[in-house]
Amino acid sequence: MINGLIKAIANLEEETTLRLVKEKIASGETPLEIVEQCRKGVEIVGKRYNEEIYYLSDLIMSEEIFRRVMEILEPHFPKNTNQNKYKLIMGTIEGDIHDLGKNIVINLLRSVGFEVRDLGVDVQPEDFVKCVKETGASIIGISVLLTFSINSVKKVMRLLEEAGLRDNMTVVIGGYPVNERIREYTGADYYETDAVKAVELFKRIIMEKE
Amino acid sequence: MLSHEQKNTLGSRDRVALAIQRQETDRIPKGEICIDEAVVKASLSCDKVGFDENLEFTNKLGLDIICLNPLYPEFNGDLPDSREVFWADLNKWSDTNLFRFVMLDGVLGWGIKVFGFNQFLILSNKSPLSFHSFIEKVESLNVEMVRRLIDAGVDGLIIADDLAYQRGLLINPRVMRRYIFPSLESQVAEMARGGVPVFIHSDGNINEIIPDIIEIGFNGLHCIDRNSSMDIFDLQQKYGSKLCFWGSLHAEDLIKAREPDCLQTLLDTIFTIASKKGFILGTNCGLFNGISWDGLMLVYEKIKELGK
Repeated sequence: MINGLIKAIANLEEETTLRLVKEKIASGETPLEIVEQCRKGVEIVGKRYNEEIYYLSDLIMSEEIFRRVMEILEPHFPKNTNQNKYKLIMGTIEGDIHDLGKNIVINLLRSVGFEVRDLGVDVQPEDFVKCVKETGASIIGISVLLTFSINSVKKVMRLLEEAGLRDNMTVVIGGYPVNERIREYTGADYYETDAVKAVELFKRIIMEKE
Repeated sequence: MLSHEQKNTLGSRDRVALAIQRQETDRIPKGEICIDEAVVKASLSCDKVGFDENLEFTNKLGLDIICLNPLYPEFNGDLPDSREVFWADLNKWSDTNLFRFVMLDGVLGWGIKVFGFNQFLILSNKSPLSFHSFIEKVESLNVEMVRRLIDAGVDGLIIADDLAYQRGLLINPRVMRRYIFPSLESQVAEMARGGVPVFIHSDGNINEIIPDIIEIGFNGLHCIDRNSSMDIFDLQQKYGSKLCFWGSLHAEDLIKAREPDCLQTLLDTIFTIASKKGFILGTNCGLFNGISWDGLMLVYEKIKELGK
C-alpha cells in the first residue's frame, strides 16, 4: 500500500506533499527515508507519463515539488549524503537555438535522479569541454536539430580528444536529424531521437560505467 | 469544378483562398510559414534582403503565399504594447498577387518567453489565477493586433503556438480546454468577424486536440509532421471536410529529393495528398538556414513541369 506522501507526489499535490514532509521530519523520519518515498512518488509520475496519462507539464510539476521537498530537507541531511547523483552535461550545439527536446530530456533525467548541468542553447564546442573540466562529468548529451550544426558536434569530439578527455567520456547526440550515419560522422558514442528512450539509454550508460 | 478557362488562370491569392475553402484549385498552392534571410541571401547571392529580394525569392520558388512574422520591440520581460508591433512591408505585399498570411504568437510562446519553459508549464498548477490573467493579456494583445491587420486587409492569420512536441501535448488538454481554448475561441471569433481565415501552427503531435481546433473555429492547420505521429492521410480522412492542411514536407524529404527515385516517390505522395481538396504544400518548419532549399526548388520545379 502506498503511503500518503507517495500518493501526494504521484497526484502532483504540492501543498499536501510539503505539509507531509514537514510532519515526517517532526515525527523523526530521516531525510533519506523521506527522499525515498518522494522518489517512489516521482517514479509513479514517470510511469503515468509513459502510459500517456500524464503530460510533460505534469512531469515538470513533479520535479518542482521534488525540488521544494529537497529545499525543506536540505538542512536535515548529514553532510555529503547527497553526492551520489550522476553528473551529466547537456546543451544545444552552436548555431542551433531549439531547446524543447533538450528540455524534455533534462526534465526526464532529473526526475529519475540525474544531476544535469544545462548549458542552454547555441553552446560553443569549447564550452562543453570547459564544463567537463569544471564538473568532472563523464557524460555529455548534445542536442542538434539543424543539420548544418552537425560539424560543431564533430568539433566537440575533436576538442575532447585534444584535451585528453575522450577516453572516459560518453557522448550522446539527440534530435530530429540524427541517425547512425551522423553518429558515425561526428564520432559520438550513441544517438537517440526519442526522449523517453534517451533516458533509458543514459541509465544503461551509467550501469556500464559502474 | 473549375471551368477550362479557370484552369491555370487563377492568381495565387484566389488559389490559396479556394484551398482554404476546401475547393478545387488549378494547381497545388504552395507556401512557406517563414523564410530565413540567410536562405534568400544564399539563393540570390545577395548581401542584403529587403522586400524586392524576398519577392524575387518567393517568385523563384513559385510560392503563392507570403507569411509575415511580427517584429516586436526589444523584449523587456513582459508582453509588448500592440502599437509597437509591426510586420515588414505589410502594405507593399498587398500590391502583389500573393496571399498575405500574418502570424501572431500564442499564449505558450509568450508564456515561455516571459516566465521560462518550466515555470510557465506548471503555472496553471501553481497559480491558476496568474495563468488565467496572463492568457487574458495575450488575448488582448492579439485582438488589438487583429483589428489593425484586418484594417490593413490581410488575407489570412496564423496563431503560432507550439502546443506539443514529438510525443504529445506539453500541457494536459484539460488545462487547455479550461483556460487556453476559450481564449483562442475569442481571438478566432474576432478574426472571423473580419472575414479572415485563421490557421493554427503547432509543432508536435496534436492529434488529441484536433477536434478542439475545429470546434474553436480554425480553418486550417500548419505543420503536419509525420515524425510526430501526424499522419496527413489519416488527418485528411478524418477531418478533411473541416480543415485545410498546410505543410507535410519534411526537411529530410528535401535532402532526399536530390536522388531521382526519392524525388519521384515524394512527388507521388504529394500528388496523392493534393488529390484531396483543402491542401497547401510547404515545409513543416519553414525555410531556415541550413535547410536544403535547393531540394525544395527541385520538388517545386518538377511539380510545375508536370503542370500540377
